[in-house]
Amino acid sequence: MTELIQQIVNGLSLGSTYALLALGLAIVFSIFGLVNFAYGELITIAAYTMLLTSYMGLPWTLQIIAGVLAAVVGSVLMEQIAFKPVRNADPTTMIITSFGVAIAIQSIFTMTVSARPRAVPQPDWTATSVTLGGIIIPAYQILTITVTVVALVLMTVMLKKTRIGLSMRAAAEDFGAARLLGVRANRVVSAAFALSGLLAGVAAILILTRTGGVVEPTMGLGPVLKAFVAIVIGGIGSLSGAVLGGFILGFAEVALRAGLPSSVTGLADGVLFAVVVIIIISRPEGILGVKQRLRT
Amino acid sequence: MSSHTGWQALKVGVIRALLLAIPVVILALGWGALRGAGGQRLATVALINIVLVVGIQIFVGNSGVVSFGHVGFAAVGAYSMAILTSPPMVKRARIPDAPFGLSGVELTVPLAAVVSLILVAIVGAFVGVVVMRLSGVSASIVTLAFLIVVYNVLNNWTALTGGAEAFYGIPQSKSPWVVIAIMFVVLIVASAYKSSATGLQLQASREDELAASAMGVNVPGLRLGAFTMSAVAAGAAGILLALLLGAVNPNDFYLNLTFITVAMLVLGGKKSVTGAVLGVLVITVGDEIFRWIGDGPNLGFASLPLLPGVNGLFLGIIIIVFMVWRPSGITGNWEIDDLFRRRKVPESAPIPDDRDADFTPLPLKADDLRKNFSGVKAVDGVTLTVGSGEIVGLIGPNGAGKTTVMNLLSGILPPDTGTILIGDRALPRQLHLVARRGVARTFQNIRLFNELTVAENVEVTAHVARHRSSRALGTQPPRFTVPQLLDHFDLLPLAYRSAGTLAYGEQRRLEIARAAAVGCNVVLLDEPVAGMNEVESQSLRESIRALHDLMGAGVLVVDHDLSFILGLCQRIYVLDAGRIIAEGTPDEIASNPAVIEAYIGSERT
Repeated sequence: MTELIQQIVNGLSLGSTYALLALGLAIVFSIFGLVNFAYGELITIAAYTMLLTSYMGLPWTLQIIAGVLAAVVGSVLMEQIAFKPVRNADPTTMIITSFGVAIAIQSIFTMTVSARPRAVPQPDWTATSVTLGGIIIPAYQILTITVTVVALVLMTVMLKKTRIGLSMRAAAEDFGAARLLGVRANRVVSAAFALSGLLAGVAAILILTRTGGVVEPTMGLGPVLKAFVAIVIGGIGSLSGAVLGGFILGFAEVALRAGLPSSVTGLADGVLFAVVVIIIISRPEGILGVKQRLRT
Repeated sequence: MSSHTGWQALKVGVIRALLLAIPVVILALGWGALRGAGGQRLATVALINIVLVVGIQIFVGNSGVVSFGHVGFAAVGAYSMAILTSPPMVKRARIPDAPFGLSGVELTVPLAAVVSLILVAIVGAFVGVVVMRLSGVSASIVTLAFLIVVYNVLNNWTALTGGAEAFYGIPQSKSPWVVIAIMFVVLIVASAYKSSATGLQLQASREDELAASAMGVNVPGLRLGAFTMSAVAAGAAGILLALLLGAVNPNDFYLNLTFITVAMLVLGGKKSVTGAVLGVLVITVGDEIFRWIGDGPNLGFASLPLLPGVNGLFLGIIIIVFMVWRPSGITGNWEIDDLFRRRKVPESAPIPDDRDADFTPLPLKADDLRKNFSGVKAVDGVTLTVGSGEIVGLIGPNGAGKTTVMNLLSGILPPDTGTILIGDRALPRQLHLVARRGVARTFQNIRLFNELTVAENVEVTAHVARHRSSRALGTQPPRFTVPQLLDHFDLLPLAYRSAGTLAYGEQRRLEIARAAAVGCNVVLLDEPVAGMNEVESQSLRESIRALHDLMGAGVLVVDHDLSFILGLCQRIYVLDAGRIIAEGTPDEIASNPAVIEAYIGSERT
C-alpha cells in the first residue's frame, strides 16, 4: 500500500512536469500549426541562463527568474527569426525548420560553454524530503506538483478571463476565422510563443531541481520528445488534452519502470513511441489536427 | 514524347548516374590522394552519404513525404552486419546470450550483406505499411518514432546488440571501390525510378494526393514500394559504414546523422537526384571547413579561438535559410542531364477518326443516392443514368448538391445509401480503382499535378489506362497517344511547361485531357467552363463534343452555365435541394416551369 502511494506520488510528480511541457508545445501547435522540435532548446536556454547567473553569484530566486525570462525571450525570438517566414509553408517545412533551430541553439551552447555537462548549484532544501506516514516525498516532488497546479490554474484563468487568452483560444479553434473577426494574428502568435517559453522555463526549473542542476547542450531532447508523446496521447491540438496526456504519460512511465523487469526498463521509451505510432495510425486523418480535405 | 517506358527510364538512369558519378569519384579519389588516410576516409564517408541521401531521395523526392527514419534502416543494416560478421570469439565475450544462437555465427561479408539487406527490406516493408496510408506530418512523425524505437532497442536489447557501447570486430574494408560500385547502382535506381511511369505516378500523388487517386494512381501501394526500396538503399549505406569503421555504436545512427542527411537533402533539392548528390558535397565541404575553424586554426598571424560545435551551427543555419528562402533546394526539380536535353515541341498529331467498333462504353447508373453532412441532406435521393456514350448535363442553383453528386459518382465520397453501377458492377470502394474502371473526372477548382509537365499530367492517366485495362472490366487501352490528346486541346506547344504555370483556360483544358486519357466509359466534368468568357466556353464546348464523337465515352457535365449545358448535352437533369426536380432534352428543360421556377426564374427577374 505504501509502495503504491509512493508510486502514485512519483507518477503525479513526473506527470506534472510532462503536463507543463506538453501544454507549452500544444499552445504553439494549436495556434501556429507547428510541432516545434526546438521547444526543448527553450529548456536548455533557461538552464544555461541559470548557470550563467549562478556564476555571476546571483541568488537562486533571481536565477530562476532570469532563466524563465530568457526562455520567454528565446521563444519569441525563435518565432520572429525562424518561424514567421515559414508561417504559410507546409507543416513538414516548419518541422524541418524547427530541427534547424534546435541544432543551431545546441551548437551555440557547445561553442560558448562546452559540450560537457555543467552543474547549477541547487538550494539545499531541494535535496531534502518529507516523510508522511511511511511515504518519503522528496522536496522537489512537492515543489513540482505545487508549481504545476498553480501554473495550470493561472493558465486557465488567463485563457478564460483575459482578452488575449480569449483571442488565443479563438485562434486555436480556427485561425482564419479568428483573424477575420479582428483577432490580431501577430500578437496572438507572439503571445503563444511567449507562453510556450514561460512554461518551458518553469519546467526547466523543476527539471533542474530533480536532476541536481545538470545542464548540457542536448538536455532539451528528452523533454521535447516526452512532451510530444503527451500531446499525441491527449489528442494533439487540444490544450486540456495535452495536460491530461502529460499526466497519463507520467503515470504510464512510472508503471512501466515499476512493472517491467529491470533488464528491459530501458525499453520503456521504445514502448511509448510504439504507442504513439499506434495512436497515429488509428486516427489517420485526425492526427495533428490536419484533416485531409475531401471537398473538391 | 512518352519517355516513360522501362528501357528509356533505365537509359536516363544510366546516363544521369554516369554524369553524377564521374565527377564525384574523381573528387573523392583526388581528395583521398591529396590528403592521405584522413582524406580518404572523409571521401569514403561522403560517398556512403551519397548512397544514404540518394536512397532517402527515392522515397522523399517522389512521394513528397519527408522521412526522418531512414537512418534507422542504416542502423538495422549496420548492426545486422556487425552481429553476423564479427568473429564468434568477440561475440562470446560481448553478447554471450544472443538470441537464436547468433553468438556462434560468422558469415562472410558478401553473404552477411545479403542477409542484412533482406532484413532491412522486411523491416522497411513493415514500416512502409504503416507509413503508406498517412500523409504529410503524420507520416514524418511515424518515421521519427521508428528511429527513436530503433535507437532505444539498440541501446537496451543488450543481449543482442551489446548495448550503448561500441560493437567491434566487423572485418574492415577501406577500399572505396565497393562503395563506388554501390553508389553507382543506387544512382541508377534513383534516376531510373524518377523517370519511370511508376515514379511519375508517385510524383503525381506528391503534387495532389486526392487527384492522383481519382486518376487511378494506387498511392499507398506506390509509397510502400518506394519506401521499401529507399529503406534498402539506406540499409546498404549502413552496411558500408559498418565495414568502413569496423565498429558500430547506437549514437552513430541517431539524430546527428539524421539532421545531417536532412540538411543535405533539403539543401540540394529533395525532388532531384542531382540535388541529393550536390547536397552531400556542399554539406561535407562546409562541415569540414567549419570543423577546421572550430578547431582553432593557426593562421600564421593569429590563432583563432576554439569553437567546438561551430559546424553544428552552420548545419542549423543552412537548414533554416533553405527552408525559408528556397524550400525546394538548390536544384529544385532540375537534373544534370537536363543540360544536354533538347526538347522539341512535338509535331502536330490529329486524332485519327477510327473509332473502335468493338468497344461499347459502359453506362453509369446511380440509384437513390443519399448523403448527409451532419444532418444537412446534401443529396436526398438522386437517381440518374449516363447512358453508353451519352452526353448528360446536371444543372442546378448554388448549393443544390451538384458537387456532392459529383464526389459520389467519382468515388471520392461514399454515399450513405444508394447504389452506383458501372455497367452491371458496383463502383469500387477504393478511389483509385474507379478510374481503372474507366470513370474519370475533372475538379471544380482545378487539381493538376502542378510541378509535372503538361505532357506528364496526361502521361500519368495514359499509363493507368494502358496497364489496367481489360475487356472483362469493360475498359480499353487508351485510343489516343498523349500528343494526340494534347493537340486536340491545343496544348501541344505547351507540352513541356509545368502544368502550374499554364493560364486558367489552358489548365481547364489540360484537366479534361487528363481525364479523357483514362475515362473510356464516362468522363465527369465538374464546372468545366466556370470563369470562362463566352468565346472560350464555346470553343471548349466544341472540343468536348469533338472528343466525345471520337472516343465515344459518356460524359456527365455539371455546371450552372445554362446555355453551355443546353448547347452541349443530349439529356439534362435539374438538381435542386439535393433532389432531381426535372429531366429531359434541352428543349424540354428550357421550357419546364419547375426548372424556370427553381433555377432560371431567378435569373430572368
